Amino acid sequence: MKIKKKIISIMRSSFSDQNIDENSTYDNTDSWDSMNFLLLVVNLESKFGIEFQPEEIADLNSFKSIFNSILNKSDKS
Amino acid sequence: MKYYIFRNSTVELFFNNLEATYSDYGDVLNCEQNHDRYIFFYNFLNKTNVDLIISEIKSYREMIDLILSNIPENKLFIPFTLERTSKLNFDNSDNRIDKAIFDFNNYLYRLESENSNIKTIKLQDFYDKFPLNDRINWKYYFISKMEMNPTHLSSFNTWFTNQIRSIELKRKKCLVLDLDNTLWGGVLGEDGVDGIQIGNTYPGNAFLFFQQAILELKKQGVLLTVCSKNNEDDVFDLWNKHSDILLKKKDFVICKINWNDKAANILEISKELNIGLDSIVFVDDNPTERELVKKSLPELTVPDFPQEPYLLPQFYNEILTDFFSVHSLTEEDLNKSTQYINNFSRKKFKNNFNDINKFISELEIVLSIEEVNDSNISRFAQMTQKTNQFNLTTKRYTDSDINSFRENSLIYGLRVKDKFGDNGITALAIISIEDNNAYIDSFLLSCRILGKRIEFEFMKYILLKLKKMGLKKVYAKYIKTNKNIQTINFYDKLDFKISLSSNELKEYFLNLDENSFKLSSNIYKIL
Repeated sequence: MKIKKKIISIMRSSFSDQNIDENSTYDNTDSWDSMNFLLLVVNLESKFGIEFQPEEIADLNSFKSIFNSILNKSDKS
Repeated sequence: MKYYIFRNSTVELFFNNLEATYSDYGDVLNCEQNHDRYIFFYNFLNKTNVDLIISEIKSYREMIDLILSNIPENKLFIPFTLERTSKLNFDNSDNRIDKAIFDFNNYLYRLESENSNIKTIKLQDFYDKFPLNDRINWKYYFISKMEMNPTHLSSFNTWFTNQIRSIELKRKKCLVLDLDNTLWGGVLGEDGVDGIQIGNTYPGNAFLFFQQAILELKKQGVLLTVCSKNNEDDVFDLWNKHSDILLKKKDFVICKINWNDKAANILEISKELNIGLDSIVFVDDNPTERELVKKSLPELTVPDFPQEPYLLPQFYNEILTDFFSVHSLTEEDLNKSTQYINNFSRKKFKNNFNDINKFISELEIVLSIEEVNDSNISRFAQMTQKTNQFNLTTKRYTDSDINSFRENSLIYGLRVKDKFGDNGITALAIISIEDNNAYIDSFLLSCRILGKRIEFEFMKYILLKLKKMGLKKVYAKYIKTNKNIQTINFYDKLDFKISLSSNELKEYFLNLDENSFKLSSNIYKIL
């Protein structure tokens, strides 16, 4: 899965945290603070060429939700 | 290098290449002294009320004065100029905002000219790269209070790093110049006095431009010297005869025109002028010469010379900003700065405490206490969930939790208004009452209103209230978390007595009978 790898690598660089994996969530990840999260959203938007709506951003609280959201967007396009 | 950044909006991402501590939004009072450098980076606040914007911009001056009175005098203070990120005037002919910004920026330039440890960074240089409608991203503005467009993050990082470098860089003192194909086109020994290119047509006009620019450097005190492989007589002849050549013998303090090794010549220049090699920049069009000199004199600065004459203005700009920029700070400057007694802004604020009070009272703060009711209970619960930094116990409650406390607790919210507007309910206290004693279960403030000593006023109000109720003792706790370290001594400052103190927990009590509390009604209006 290319998308999964790409998301993980963007998450790792945004959070400066090599421990991010597919099970990472807001609750189990110390480096997942509001500033790093903002950086993540900016990076995901630019690297995937997508745009999240504010309502969607509020729901991005785990690797899985990010993956699903991006998958949805690429399906539609 | 530890930075402290005064800011009024979310800017952390723009400085994530620095080791930095951030002030709360708009807070200029709480500032630790142990940082190496202090940055003032206030973004233009995008609001719709022009009068409000203007009065806010006007208040920045006073904030800067306060900062300068607080930070150590020998530390570098770096304010950013203010620049618009949107144009939301509803009347196109209204240029009062531009005027206010202009005045503020001029104030910064004036401070810089009077204090050698203040270096103003012109934010406009960064924004010039982007059209006005790209400077703000309204989505991020609304979701996270970002007044800057986060898609410009990396270009900002790069630009800012260069700015800091130019501030840090010690200014070079001497420029060593080659002649052929550097100050004019062609080779004098082969093309002759009339064959070289300098004057009104390309490429001669590009070289002339370069000579004019270098003459400006000379005016700023840079020492010009020549190091060229030529017959000295030929060059002197050219300088005498050629009317288009601007830089002549009199402009150079030393001319090494001979066939010797250039590194040896430059070493002599360094000795004769008694300046270090690290203060010299060598400019030569010949890459082999540059390489040779670099190898034998590694301390020397040897920039790459442009391939085409039309790139000379750009090249000049590079050497100017990189090596001869006036935006430079030397050890000497720093030491000098402590001697400067004409530090008018600091002097003005010598009597610190009174001035802080004056500053706060000018904000026209109105505090109104709201007891819990059905319409504000969700906001109360939300604050316990979201507040991390100024939160003494960090207990998280739901609406129904709070509802259940209503029977035997005092639950106060605090609405904070100032002349800039209404912040809403931004502080909360939950105090349970048992027998004749009060237990402060929760006490927290939103970071939006920090820096105005509201926390003390709010607590004094509560203590006064408890005393009037006839209670005897107040118990309080500080429970440490990763984020609430700034509150660690809050109760100590209010003269509570410690009954237990460990790394994770501090417990206090206060005998209400033995203490009197006076509200600062001259500073805050309490409703």
